[in-house]
Amino acid sequence: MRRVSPAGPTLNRRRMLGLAAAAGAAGAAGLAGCGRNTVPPKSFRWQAIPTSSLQAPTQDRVSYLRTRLREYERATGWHVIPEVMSEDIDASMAKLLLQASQGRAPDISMVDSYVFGRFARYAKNLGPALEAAGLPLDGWFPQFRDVMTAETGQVRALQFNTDVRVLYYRKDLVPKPPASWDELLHVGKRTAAKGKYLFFPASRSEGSVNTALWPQYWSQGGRILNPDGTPGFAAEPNRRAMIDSLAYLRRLVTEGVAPRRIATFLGEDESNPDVIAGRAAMFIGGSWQGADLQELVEHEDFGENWGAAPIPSRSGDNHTCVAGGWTWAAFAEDPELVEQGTKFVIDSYVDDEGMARWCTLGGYLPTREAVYDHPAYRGDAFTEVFREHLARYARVRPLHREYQQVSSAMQVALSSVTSLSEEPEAAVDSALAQIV
Amino acid sequence: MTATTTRSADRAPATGAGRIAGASRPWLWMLPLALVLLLIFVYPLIEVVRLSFTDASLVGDEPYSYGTDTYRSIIGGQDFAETLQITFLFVLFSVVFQLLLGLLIAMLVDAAKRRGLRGALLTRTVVLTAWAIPGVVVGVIWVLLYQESSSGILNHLSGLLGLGSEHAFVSDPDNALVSIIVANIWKGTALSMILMYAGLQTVPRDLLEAVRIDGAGPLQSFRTVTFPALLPLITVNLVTITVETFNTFDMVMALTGGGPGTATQVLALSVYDQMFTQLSLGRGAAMSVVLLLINTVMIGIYFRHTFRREARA
Repeated sequence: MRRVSPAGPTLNRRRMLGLAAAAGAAGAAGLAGCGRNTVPPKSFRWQAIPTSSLQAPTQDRVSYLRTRLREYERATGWHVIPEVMSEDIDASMAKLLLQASQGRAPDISMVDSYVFGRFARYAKNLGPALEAAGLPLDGWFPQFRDVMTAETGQVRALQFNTDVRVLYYRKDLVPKPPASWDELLHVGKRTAAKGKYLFFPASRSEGSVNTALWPQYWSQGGRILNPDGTPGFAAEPNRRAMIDSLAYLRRLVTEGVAPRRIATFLGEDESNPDVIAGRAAMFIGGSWQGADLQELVEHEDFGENWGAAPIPSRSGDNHTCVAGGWTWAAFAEDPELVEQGTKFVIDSYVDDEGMARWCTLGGYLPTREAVYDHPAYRGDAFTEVFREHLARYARVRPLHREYQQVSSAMQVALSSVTSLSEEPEAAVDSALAQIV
Repeated sequence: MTATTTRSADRAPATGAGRIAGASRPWLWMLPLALVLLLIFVYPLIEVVRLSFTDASLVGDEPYSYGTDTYRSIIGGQDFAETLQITFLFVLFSVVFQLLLGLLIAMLVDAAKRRGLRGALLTRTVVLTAWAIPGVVVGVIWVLLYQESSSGILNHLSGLLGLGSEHAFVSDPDNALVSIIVANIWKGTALSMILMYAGLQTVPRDLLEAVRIDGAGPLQSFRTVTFPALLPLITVNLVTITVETFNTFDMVMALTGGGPGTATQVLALSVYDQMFTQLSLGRGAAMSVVLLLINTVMIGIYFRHTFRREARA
């Protein structure tokens, strides 16, 4: 018998629960659809950081990528679904790593080269794609080969751009660039007396340890991690090398060569306002800053008036610097998606012409020696110096999972020392105590 | 079935508008909410507590083990003690000044409104704007203000006044903590002001008039009439801004990143740092649990106070 409520026909409880269950099921299906299933056939998800995506800050880059996408889709009949990471690279990499470990990562994605070691086990073998494109691994600078293979014996990432750190100096104030710590202190004191200082990032950031700390430490023979993943500076003689590196950076501040506010500089670019305002005689910065400052500095030819030299080391030789950059990695389970995704990024970013054009548009350094001589590549006034750095001085950071914790602890130590809140030895001890 | 219908009808006779099916079973209506809460609150909470007893990383399939080592290393570490100390200082000064300034501005706006002065609404809106701005943006705004060269806004103004233009607002560890407290007070005073302003509207005007006629001055009428009327809202305000300040990390991250050194490393920022920079899910979860316990104690104090007050009433 059909029950009717006093107010007339209405939903009974069972029907209502049935509808709720149906709605729930539909919602669940919708949520499930947010994953792999919603991707139409013959398409793949391509994820990039904003500056390398269709949201790039310059029209040239966007036009280039649109053209490559159009050409690729016309030639293959495949469709590319663009996705963009957030500007917070740490959070983006953490999210991507989580997705990769759960099999939910985009089919092809950019991965910051220094964390690729964490991703390598989830990334697919790109060796066949490289071979098909006629790009031998030997063509890359040696340090990037290690990143690309990440101790797996296979090519699992394609590093398509890089950068190095150098000492920029004003030629009128610093005729001969300092090579050693003593020379830098001497020259720095002289220019500081004229109100022109040395700048470099020295706060809690990856950029700060890359630019200021690791080169000093490496140049004394130190290594960041031991093969078992423990901090390389936990024992002598590397402990002393790390303490001395921090003490030297502190001395640059206490002797007035560098202003104390560098302890707030999160990245290399934060020196730019002081360079533009004419307050800098020297700064330790990234290779991309040369091209940026050429545009930013008015009424002056930055490339003509400034020089670039290796970051001064303790002894004046054994110079080192950090090389960073980005890689492409494929996470798709379907080999056809890996093949298509890799083909697109190789054509656009990795093969000789793609790398030459993309690095020219973005102001990046190519990761293969041959690309520097490609007709489509145009560098800046400092490109030859950077190329020499890549060949002689540039190193990549350890690919071990422990690196991030060690780096984070040393970022705090560096910031404590340059803000004069802690002595170098105590800062190293605190850092070691933090590392679990 | 018939018996059930009859019993329901006995308890809640149908009105002219009709009786809603299932009204006698409130759990049915609460079920969707309970399910949502279970799914998005209780389950993640249990997961966080579970993970806090592991050394798990953010990577899903990396092996991890259970134990209390994470808590032991956190509680035993000097850096965590410092973080807690910094967090409590940050919260204490932020909350005290947000309460006082919020009350002061609310009283001024209320007085302006009662006197029919123009601009009361505009003032309220402008103050509230600070609250509506996301924490990261607040951080960026204050980065520009605190910039430590003559290009910095505060240093420039200070230079114009002849007070020097090289003040170390954020590169000096002591100043940095004060600087983030000031920025947080600027952001949080707005909410405090709105709550206090709402409270002031409930103060009985006739009672205020009466005590004034009896000869009470402004301070005495505030103490005897306004403050007791505001007390429930002050308690709500205190708990809200305390919990909000304990959870603040976005503004600090944008402004100082926790530095220099660890001078502005508040607890919520440590959680973010552990989870997203160092990918240490277990350690980050353990710190989250500590933060949760602190917030739970704050809310517990509020409920205790409320129940006592209601019992007295």
